[in-house]
Amino acid sequence: MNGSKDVQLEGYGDENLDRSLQGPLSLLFVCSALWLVVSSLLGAVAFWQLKFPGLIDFKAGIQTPYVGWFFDFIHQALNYGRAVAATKSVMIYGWLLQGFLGVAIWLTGRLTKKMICKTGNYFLLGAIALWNIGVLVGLMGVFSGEASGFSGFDFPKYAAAILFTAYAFIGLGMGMRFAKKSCSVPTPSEWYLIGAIFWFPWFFGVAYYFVFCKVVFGVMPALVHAWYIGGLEVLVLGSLAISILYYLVPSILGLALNRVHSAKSAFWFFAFLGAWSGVRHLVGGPLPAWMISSSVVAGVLLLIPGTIIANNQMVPLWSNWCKVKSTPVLWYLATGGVSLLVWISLEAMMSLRGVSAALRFSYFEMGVSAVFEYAFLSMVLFGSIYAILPTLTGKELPCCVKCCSKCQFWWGFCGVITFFTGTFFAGTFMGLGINFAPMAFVATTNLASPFFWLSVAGGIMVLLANLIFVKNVVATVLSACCESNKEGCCS
Amino acid sequence: MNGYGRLFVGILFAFVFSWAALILVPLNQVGNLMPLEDQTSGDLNPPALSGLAKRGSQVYAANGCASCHTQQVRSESGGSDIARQWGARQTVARDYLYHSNPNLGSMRLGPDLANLGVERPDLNVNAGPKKKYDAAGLHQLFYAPRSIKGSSHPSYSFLYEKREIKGANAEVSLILPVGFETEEGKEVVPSEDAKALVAYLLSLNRMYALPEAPVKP
Amino acid sequence: MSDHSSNQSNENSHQESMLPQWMYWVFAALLIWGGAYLMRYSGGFSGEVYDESTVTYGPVKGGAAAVEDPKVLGARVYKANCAQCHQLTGLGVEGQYPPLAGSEFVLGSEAHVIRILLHGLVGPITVNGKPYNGNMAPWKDVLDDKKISQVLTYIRSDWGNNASAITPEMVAAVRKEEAARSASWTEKELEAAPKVLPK
Repeated sequence: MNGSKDVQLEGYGDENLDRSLQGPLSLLFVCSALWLVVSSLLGAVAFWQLKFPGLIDFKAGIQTPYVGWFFDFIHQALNYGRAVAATKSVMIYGWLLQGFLGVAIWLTGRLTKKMICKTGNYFLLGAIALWNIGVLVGLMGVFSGEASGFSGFDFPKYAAAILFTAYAFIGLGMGMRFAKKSCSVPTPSEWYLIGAIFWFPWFFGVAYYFVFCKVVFGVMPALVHAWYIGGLEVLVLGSLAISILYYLVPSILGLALNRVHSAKSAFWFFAFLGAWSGVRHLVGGPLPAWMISSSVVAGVLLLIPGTIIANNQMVPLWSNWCKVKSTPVLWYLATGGVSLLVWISLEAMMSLRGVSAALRFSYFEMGVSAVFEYAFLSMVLFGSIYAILPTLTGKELPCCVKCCSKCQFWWGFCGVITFFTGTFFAGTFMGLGINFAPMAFVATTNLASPFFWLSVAGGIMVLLANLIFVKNVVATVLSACCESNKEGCCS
Repeated sequence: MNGYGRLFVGILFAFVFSWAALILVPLNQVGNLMPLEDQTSGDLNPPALSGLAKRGSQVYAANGCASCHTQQVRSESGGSDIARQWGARQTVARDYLYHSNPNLGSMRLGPDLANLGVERPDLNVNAGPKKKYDAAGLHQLFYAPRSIKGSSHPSYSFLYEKREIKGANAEVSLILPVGFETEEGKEVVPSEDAKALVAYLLSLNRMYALPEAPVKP
Repeated sequence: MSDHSSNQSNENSHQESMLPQWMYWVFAALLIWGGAYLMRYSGGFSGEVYDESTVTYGPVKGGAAAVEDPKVLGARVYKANCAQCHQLTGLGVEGQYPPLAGSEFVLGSEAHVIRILLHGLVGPITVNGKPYNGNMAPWKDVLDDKKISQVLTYIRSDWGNNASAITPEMVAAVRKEEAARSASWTEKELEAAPKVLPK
């Protein structure tokens, strides 16, 4: 290996181990990057309709039979409600979960030091393909009007079943490799990783059963849905992100992997409180008070593990600031580490009943989910993918990619801050307006208007960053493919 | 048991603990509710949903209506919902007894719909005489939202069919205001989905009192 | 190039990621706040308190008791025990399990339908002019009088059926009269049995 790499990750693993995953993980990262762009474009279409509600209602003008049918379909599929559902689901299952599963597969290899056999590799490829088919089928289902209506769990029953099957292969593979491991002390990274591997199917399975099998009626499906979203956000996606942070930050900085203070108590706090925190999304809802109250408490207490985890990441980064400044990957990871704490604080604040009376149901919620999905999860994922790609190909990132990754960071970073600022003010004014009963309801959206454009600007910057990212991933994977083809004649 | 075994047991326990407390116990508390009989009128509350309304609930969910509209009235201390006359009391679990998806929603870009089938004040002025939505008004809102002043509602014209007039009053066709009429000799009729959606929306009524949610006089 | 083992001695991260002491006091305060919040706003962990500001000590009192709707309860019994054969639609399976929707047995004599449910029914039977031949198990040991009355009330009122409700007392009376019986009914035996309920 050449020593000039800025991300020195090969010390902890086996070069062959990483290289053996090149095929499946390249496919996975390219697909997830594409879904990210699909999701941002869908989000843009949805967002514009808030200002221009007639944007895609072409029907009145077009009479030609086939063209008319096409525009009619566009109108149905991309109408605000369906577009929002599609944006959210593609974001979660296409980009975040898929991307983090890729990171988890790589991390499993690193932590267990077990190679995947050739058959296993084919299974993995198949499972990744199946996962993407599941997302595509689900997206089509939402477009054609078969969404379940539970935000974040919108894909119809059959698509959810495909995703579950695909995960079964991936999760089983990871679980089996951990089961074979003989060493007996798990590292912080492993706690979160193993946790997420098991939590996802459990939460997903329960949600699938209660939402799709029609065994319960009334508020129970809504309660299960809120509980599932909490589990997915905190225990699955959050755990995976924290797991990779605990691995990458010390290994890039060249520090000891498992000497971190109070990390163990933080993990158990995180696991038990995270599993309880979902129902706070239903503050004020038609559920007995204790369910919401206990979830609010769990959400606020998440500040304890959140502080410890962020501290574990940020202190070594802070004391190696020179290294951080010269390593774009660490920019992403540091942003993610801070955003985790910011998100937990925002959610804790939102869930308090006095605050939620004003801010819930307003644009503010969009801002908070942007902090979670973009500033925390996506940032960690971007950084991880930029760190992992060179280990898969065995070569440094191409120069243009390195350059663009810095550019992408600033667009994304400024974009998400602008977006959040916009939704923060828009949401606060709108929420206070709604909460002030003498004010006409229609007027409340006007209060939000000026700041809405700030959010639009932020959204455009984020979209730009996402486009740079997909270009970077595709370029890296393609250049690796071309070189491996050429190798035969060149060397 | 090595460290990994203990880790697994802990992970399992964290899950099972939350599942038992937040799914099993609620299932026992609110999963098997019964309608209640009103002592004076003898009605069962909440009233059962008609088949058409049940189907409308699916149309509502599939079109993502919940991304702009909520269907939950919060208590007086929990928000302005009751002050805005969106309901007379907080909604409770029993209100959703017959709904397979309660469509609670998480955004209020539009008003709350928990009691859309009941008369309420105009949204534009938030005061004045109360008005009850009727099927014709809702159909107009879905087919030609731009014809309603101040509305930023998206159009659902794909739930309607424009066709040659067949016979006299063969079907309920839409009454459209000046400037939005269809061409001569054509009429706009709602599809089954549109009819179901409207039936569902008009059935939303949680004004009755329940012991766990009394209506203040 | 960094190496795992050579870094074990590196105490940097250990030393520096210590949280300041006051943070632990903040954590303790948060935990105490959490306990207090739960005590104040949990509504006594009751399933009937929705407004969190309600102060409850002990069980919630007052309000009307829930009315048990035998049709709703019966539907649950039906789904759990009967739907495998007679289907959720009440249409049964051709040639095997007779339909309940519009069936003259279901809508006819109250005593007969209770007898069938208590002891089961074997051999060929003609329902609505079509022949069926399945085996229905006895339910007298599985379901109590209340559940039998609920499920019968349910099947007599759904799918367009509209016959009178069955009370647990009726079931108890038939059960008492036929206490000596252990075999299942056949169509012939049933025809011979009295149509009116025992007093």
